[in-house]
Formats: sequence, C-alpha cells, structure tokens
Amino acid sequence: MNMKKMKYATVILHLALIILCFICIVPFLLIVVSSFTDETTLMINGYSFFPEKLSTYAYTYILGGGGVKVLHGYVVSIGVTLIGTATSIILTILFAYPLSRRDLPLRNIFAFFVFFTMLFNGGLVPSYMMWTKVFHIKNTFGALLVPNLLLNAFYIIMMRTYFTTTIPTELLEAVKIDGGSEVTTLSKVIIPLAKPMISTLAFMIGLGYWNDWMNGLYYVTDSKYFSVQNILNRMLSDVQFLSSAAATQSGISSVTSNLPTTGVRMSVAVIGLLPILMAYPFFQKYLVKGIMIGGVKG
Amino acid sequence: MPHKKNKWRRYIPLYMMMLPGTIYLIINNYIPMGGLVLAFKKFNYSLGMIKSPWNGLSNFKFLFIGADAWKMIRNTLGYNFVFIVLGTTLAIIVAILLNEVAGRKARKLYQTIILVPYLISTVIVSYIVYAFLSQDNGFINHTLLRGENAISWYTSPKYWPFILTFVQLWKSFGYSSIIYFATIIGIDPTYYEAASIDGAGKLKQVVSITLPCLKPTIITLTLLSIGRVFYSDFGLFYQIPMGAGTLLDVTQTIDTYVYRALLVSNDVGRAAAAGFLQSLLGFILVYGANLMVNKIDKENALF
Amino acid sequence: MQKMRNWRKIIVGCMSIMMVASMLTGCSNSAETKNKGKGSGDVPVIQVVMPSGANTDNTPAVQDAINEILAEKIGARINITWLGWGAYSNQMNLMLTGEDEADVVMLAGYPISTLVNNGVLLDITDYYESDKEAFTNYVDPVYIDSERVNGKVYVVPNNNNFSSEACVMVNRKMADDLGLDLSDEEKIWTLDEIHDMAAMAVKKYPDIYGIVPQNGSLLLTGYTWDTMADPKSLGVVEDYGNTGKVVSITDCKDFIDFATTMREWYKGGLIMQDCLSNTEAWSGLVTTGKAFCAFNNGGYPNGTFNEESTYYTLSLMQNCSFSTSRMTYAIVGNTKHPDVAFQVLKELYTNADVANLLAWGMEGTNYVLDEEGRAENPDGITDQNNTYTVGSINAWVLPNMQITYDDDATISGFYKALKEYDNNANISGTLGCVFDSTPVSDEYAACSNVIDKYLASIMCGAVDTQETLAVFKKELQAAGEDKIIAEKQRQLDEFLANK
Repeated sequence: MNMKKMKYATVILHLALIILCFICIVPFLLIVVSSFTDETTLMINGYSFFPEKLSTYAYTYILGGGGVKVLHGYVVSIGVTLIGTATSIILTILFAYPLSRRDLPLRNIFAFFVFFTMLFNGGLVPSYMMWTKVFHIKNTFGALLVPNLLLNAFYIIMMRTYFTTTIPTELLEAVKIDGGSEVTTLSKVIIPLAKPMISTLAFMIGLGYWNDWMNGLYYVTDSKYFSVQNILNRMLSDVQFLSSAAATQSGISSVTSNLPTTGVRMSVAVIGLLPILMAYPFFQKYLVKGIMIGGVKG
Repeated sequence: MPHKKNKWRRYIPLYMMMLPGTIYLIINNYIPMGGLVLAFKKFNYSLGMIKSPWNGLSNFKFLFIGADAWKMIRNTLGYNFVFIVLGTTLAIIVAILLNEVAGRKARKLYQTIILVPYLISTVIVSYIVYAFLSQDNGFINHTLLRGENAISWYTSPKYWPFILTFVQLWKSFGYSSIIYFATIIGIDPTYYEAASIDGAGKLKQVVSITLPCLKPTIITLTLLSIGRVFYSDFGLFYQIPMGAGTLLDVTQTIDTYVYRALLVSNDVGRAAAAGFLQSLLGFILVYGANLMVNKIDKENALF
Repeated sequence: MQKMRNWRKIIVGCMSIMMVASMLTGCSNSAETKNKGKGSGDVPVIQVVMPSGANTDNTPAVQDAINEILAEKIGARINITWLGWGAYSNQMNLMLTGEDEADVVMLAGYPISTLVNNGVLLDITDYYESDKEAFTNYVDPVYIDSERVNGKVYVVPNNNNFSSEACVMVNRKMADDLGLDLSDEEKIWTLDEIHDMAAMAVKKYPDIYGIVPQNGSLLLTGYTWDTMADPKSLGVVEDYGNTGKVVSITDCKDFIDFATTMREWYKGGLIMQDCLSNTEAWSGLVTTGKAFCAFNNGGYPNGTFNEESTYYTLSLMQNCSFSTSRMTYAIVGNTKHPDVAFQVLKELYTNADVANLLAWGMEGTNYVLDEEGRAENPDGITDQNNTYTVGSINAWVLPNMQITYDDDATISGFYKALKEYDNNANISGTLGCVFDSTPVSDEYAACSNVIDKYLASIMCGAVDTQETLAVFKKELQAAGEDKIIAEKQRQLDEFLANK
C-alpha cells in the first residue's frame, strides 16, 4: 500500500517537473523553429512548431554579408569573457575572504560599503565622463572589460556567505598554528575548498560578460571591438530606432528597405545563445554543487 | 598597547587583499555617485557637471504631474510585491520538488532546462511573446484558437498583469530555485531521518525542517529585492508589451515613464532625479526592514 | 622573515592585477597617441561624428584621402566616427557630454532649441554671416533661417528634400495584377480611392495585410497639420500651418476625420490588426509582398524612380515645407577649435571631392563611374561586400549629397528633380518657428506619456475613435496640455510678429 502510494507520488513529482520544463523549453524551441521558417510561410501560416516550408535565409543573411564580422565578434566575446571572468573571480575572492573573517576589525563597515553599491548608482553620464576622460577606455578592449562588470556586490556577498558557512574556524586556526600566513591560508586551504563555488560564480560572471552589450554600446564605436552581442544587438536596435517616431520625423525612414526581418531577429537570438547552451553543461556540473554549499546565507 | 598594535598588523595582509576590490568599487561605483548632484542641477553641457547652476527640487516635479503619476507608482510597487511573493513561493516549491527527485541524471536534466529562460535576453523574449500573442499569426490565435474568437492581446490591458507576471516568473524562477535548492541540499539529512522515525509525513517535514532552514536565504534575498522595489525591469515593462500605448495603464512603471518623458529632451538632470528618488526610497525601506530583522533575528540581518 | 615574504607575495599579486588593468587601459593610450601622432605638426584634428547604416570598413583610407585635401586647403585633418542607427542616440548623447570626442556632428531627431538651451551647440551665426554663399549656393536660405533659435544660427540643414507629403506606397506587382492604373504621378489621390484599392487587394490576396503602419505602430506620422517640429504633436497648427492658431491634436479636424475613417477601415479588416505591436517598417512589408500598401511621409519628386522599383507612390496631398525637425550639421559648444571646425563643415558642404569621397569611398575599390557619370559598384563587388557604401545606402546623412555623383539606382539628374520638387512646395505658415519645450518641460514630460498612450491607437483605428478621443483629451488636460499650447502659441505669435 505504502509502496504504491510512493510510486504514485513519484509519478506526480516527475509529471509536475516535466510540465515545468516543457513550459521553459517550448518558447525557446519556437524561436529556433521560426528562425528556420520561410518568411512567407511565417506570414501566412503564423508561428508554428511544424512549418510547411523551411528556409535558411535568416542565417545566410547574417552570416553571408557580415559573416566575418560575426566570427570576429565571437573572438572578441570569447577573449573578453575569459579575461574578464578570470580577473573578476580573483578580485571577488580577494575581497570576500577577509570579509568572511568574523575577527576582522571594521568588517561590518566593509560589508555595508559593498552592499551600498547595490542600491545607489550615479547614472550613466558621470560614469561615462570618468571612464573616458580619466581612464581613456573608449574604443579599447578595456571598455568591454572594466566598467561595471569587474566586481559585483552580489557575488561578493555570495562568496562571503560561502566562506563563513563552509569553512570551519577551527581549520583556519589549525593553519595559523602551523605558521601559515594569510596568503598560504587562502591559496592552500580556502581556494581548494571553494572550488565548486568559484566555478559557479565563474559561470555567472562569464554569462554576464558574454551577454553584455551595454559597455559596447556606450564605450565602443570602432567595429574592431564589437563583441558578438554588440553586433546582434545593433541589428535589433537599428530596427527599433528606425521604426521609432524620432526617425520618421527626420525623414530617415524613407530609405530603409533592407532591415532585418522577423526570421533574422529570431536567428540572431539563436546565434547569441548557442555558445552558452553548449558551455552550460560543462559549468552545470559545478554550478549546483557550488551554490549548494554557498547558498546566499545558508 | 603593543598588543593592540600587533593585532592591527596581523590584519594588514587581509586589508591588502581587499585593496584592489576597494579601489575598483570606489572608482566604478562611488566616484560616479557624485553625479547624483545632477538631480539638483540644471545640467548644461558646455558648463559641465560642476559649474552647472543649482536647480532646487524642480527636477523632481515631472514625476508627479498628471493622472499617470500614481498609476506608475502603484504599478511599480504592485508588480514588485507580486514578483517577490510569487517568485519566492514558486522558487521554493520547485526547489523542494527537485530535492525529491531520486535519479541524479533526471535531476540534472531538470535543473538545466529550467535555467534556459534565464539565459534569453529580454528583447528576444519580447519576440517570443509576440510569436505567441500576435493577433494575426500568433501561435495562440492562429494555431490554438484557429482564428476563431481571436483575442486582441496587445489592445486588451486586462490580460497584461497576468502576462507580465507570468513572463517574469518564467524568466527568473529557475535561477532562484537553484539557489534555494542548493540550500536544501545543505540541510543535515539526520534531521529528516529523525523526523521520519517520529512518523512525520513529507509535508510535515517540509514545514518543520526545510522551511526553517531556508529562512536565512529567504530573508537575505527578500531584503535585497526590497532595496530595489522602486525600480523595475525596463525590458519587461517596455519591450515585452512592444511599447503598446493602449496597455500603458497596467504596464507603465517609473522607469518606463521616465524613459518616455525624457526621450525627446534627453534631460540628464531629471533622469538623475528619478534615479536618486528610486534609490533613496529603496534604501530607506531596506534599512527599515533590516532594522526589524536585526531586532527579531540578529543573525540574519544584512548588515 | 616569513611575514616579509608573504608581504612581498601580496604586493606582487596586487601589482600583477594592476598590470593587467594598466595593460588594458594601455591599449587606449597607445591608440590615442597614434591618432595624435597622425595629426601632429600643429594640425588640429576635427572629430566628425555621423550616423550611418552602411558598410564603412574602408573609412581609414577615405579619411586619409580627405585629409590630404583638407591639410592642403585649410590646414586641418578630420577623424571620422560612424555611429550605427540603433546606437546613434545613446552614443551621441554621451559624446556630447565628453570633450574632444566630437566637434562637427550630425543631428537627427533632436529638438535644436533644447540642445541650444542645454548649451550643447556652438553659435555659428558670425561664421555663417561672413561666409553665407557657401551654403546658400546649395540651399534656399529660407531653410537655413528656419533652423535659427532666438535669431541665431546653430545648425545647417543637410541638403536633402525640404518638403514632404503624405502618400501611399503600393506594391507594384499586386497593383499590376489587379489591373490598377497607378501610373499618373501628378494625381492627388483621395482616401476613398485608396480604400477601394485596398479592399480589392485584401479580397484577392486574403493572406496579406491590406495596409500596414508607416513605422512601428504609427500609421502615418504627419498629414496636413504642422507640429512646429515637435515630435510629440503637443499642439498643432492646422491647414499646413497657415491658421496661425495652435490647437490640441484632439481638436484637429483633419486628424479626427482621418482617425474616424481609419476606424472604419480597421473594422473592415483593411488595416493590419496587430499594428499596435508592429515593429517592422512599411518598406519591409510592402516591398516583400507581405502587405499591399502603407502610408508614408517623404519627399517624392515625380518620375525619378527606376523601372525596377517595387512600389508605386501615390500622393495624398501637395507637398509642403513643414516646420519639422530635420537632419542638420552642427558644431559642438565645447570644441577647442571653433574656427577650424567651421572650415571643415564648410568644406564638407561645398567641396565636391571631399563629398564624393565621403559618399562613395575610393574610386576603383568602392565605386566606378558609368557612362552617365553615375556611381556604381565595381565588377564583382556587391552592396554586401563593398567596404564603403554610404552613398548607395544613405547618402542623405551627408551634409550635401547633392554635389556628389548620382546613384546608379536613380535616374540621372535626380538631385535636380529634388530641387524642382521643393520649389513647387507649399510653404507652411510656421516654417522657421521651432517649438522650444524648455519653459514647460514638466508638463511636456507628462503629456509625452499621454501621447504615447493614445495617439498611435487612435490613428490606426484599433480603438473606438470618439470614446478614446474624449479620454485622450481629458488626460492631456490633466497633464497640463493647455499650458504647453499657450506656450506654443506665444512662441508662434512672437515668430509671426517678427517675420
């Protein structure tokens, strides 16, 4: 009886999760299918999972004319993501570890110092003035790397929580008695223990870098430094601008015949998303393990 | 005295570790905060930030003119409230369900799939929503309803509180449920064993063990969201409804209002004023909430 | 001793991070010195910023060629930055706040008076007055004067069409198949005639849209009323701007009539039912045969389209020079070299060699001239793989496209026809009176939101006209529209008194 009830519950459990996953994945499948659907078919038959006529026009449009650019964009994106993630994770660890030490004087002030950045920001114009006038990052690789993304308060808080909850104080003391310095403690004890969390955060930071188009929009005008998201986002935002009232007012729209169509926009989404989905299973292995122990304040 | 000096010296390496991060936060976050003075200035491009004349509180005035002022505040707070409550509930339920899955492979598959929506950018989500709701060739009207009784989604405000809530939950529940799920896994299994021996059912175990263990995470995440309760996701409220005017009564938030109001004039001072007010009110709220948490449950306070 | 070593480790660690950081910023420094190096020898470098949707990869070569001419003629060099359309407003706003980032800029969609009030633009009245012919040789001074703010010159308009008309763009193939004769280019069409055509088309092709919006959700952006260059239409002057009286758009007779008609058409299924969430431009829908026709606004001189054009243009009215926000060139207020910047602007406007380089790129690589003297792609080069296509994609972003070679896609003498067209235009009574919203900016901000809420939906007939108009009016008034209209009227009265 009990066995039967258990089985029954398991079926319901899986059913619930399968429905949930279905809801998550179906809209994504719809984009993929639409990106391969013939434009006219899309018009006449509407959006469908089983289009009558397939077409790779959208992809040839993107990769045909600007194929080299997209490829170059991938190179820029990968470079930025790798360097950015590595630098960012080092900074995060270096900040979070001292913050996790209950005995650190002024610990709360530093915690507030970090948290405060999550609430207030000075806005785009002052940031832009500073980064371009003082640091001259406009149209450099650094423009994609440095502003906003290098250190994030939320990740520091997560990392700190992980350290406080998983690394026993006794362990730290044992290392100290053995004569280890703070640096050896961090590199020999803390970092190996925190590997799952580090890879988790690395994934999130990497995702942030990969998906970022704002830095490119604000700080880059030279196509040499366009990341793939920049190129794709430009395609989309060109459409949005040209269909805005501002454009029509100044008569810009009179010659805009070769704007990307619906299918192209959908394939833009697929091209931007694909590498993440492919990299995801690799990170995923560590992802849950990482948060598992870290939590936010577990 | 020498003892104290010694103590400080001991921490110097730790402070040194925090130095690069501190410098970065000062440069990236704190120095630009000086720009908040723009909220009180009439910004003049040729005079620059410092020399521009003061303007009192008049930059704030545009937020409170007209019939829409209270609507956008109501929408911003209302949606955020719903998102926090429903989002947290859904995330916890999914996390608990995930925890009940026995097979490791199946569990991993579920986890991967529920994160997919989180990875899709909002602009693209707006095209997906359009693909479903488009009146002439949308999936719902065209395929599900077969053109009969087609619903004009983009001109009917009554559906949108639900659509927006659904989209927001769809996009974010995977991420937050994984965080809760991780915390659940961290719970000492002996608690459950003991409860099981005492004859507690699954539901009872959830109420008396899982939820209390999740409390610190819930509190921290909620406090963080309270701080941003006057902000809204611009993409969600502007791009998902395709900027459709007829829906403004239920889709207008402070951020979309400011965007529309300043699009033509590109008024830096007014934009700063709006941001300043949103941050300040959020700060007051989160500070108050944190104070309360501090009184009731000191361990879980944010700072 | 042990401690010392750790110290060193930390310092080395920190140093290495800083090195990474300085390496990154270092890139910029070297890039900058390189730029400065190019412009060395006390030759000022003027930053020219323009938007474009074309391929501009060959810009360095073009820029060098232009600089050779400029160095000799005016002792200056330029550095060209192209901004993509989608990024244009974001980046332009930011670049205007910076120093040394922009000297000569193209402005599109900006209310000039607001920019002047914010101190963005340089007053170039004196330069202009002393060198007037450079511009008036090409552009009727009426149009330059029409951009004046408080009597001063801040911008010169691009030499494009200055008049426009509301018209209907009809898919050529479908119209021919339906046996419609649309060849009479002089004809002014009525809405009833358009209705009948669209109705025929929808009947014959049930799977296509009858009429689609001009752009995004707006069915038609301008008709017979004049907004005084106000993109939000808060207060309009009826009858081609000739009544001298500013009225609310909700009281504008032609608007109400148009909207009422469109409501009927919408209910009859002629208008794209989804138009409020549409994000495609008419051109994408009509030319590909997804829609039969669309309203549009623009300057369309008769007889200039090539045979292979995919659509007919049907005029709904006589073209008129409205007081509208045009694309213009200006000099930024905080420029370090105002004199040289003006010289550069003048050269861009008057020097055909410079203009042709800017439009068509390098001869041989990016274009060749056909026997009629029109620019065309060299053999084996298409618009896709041409490294410089400003001229064929959007020559109209340039200061003076009319001194460049004709495009092989239009007839020879296209620019002459364009001038002719402008000469025959009605002149709006408000031409030259550009509304400055600064005195009522709070109300303007609030009313902008109300306009966004109702204007597009009323115009395309997606909502009940009378009912929505009443609500529209009420909300506009609650947001302070009366104050805006009074201010607009005051500005117009003042302008008319000084005329």
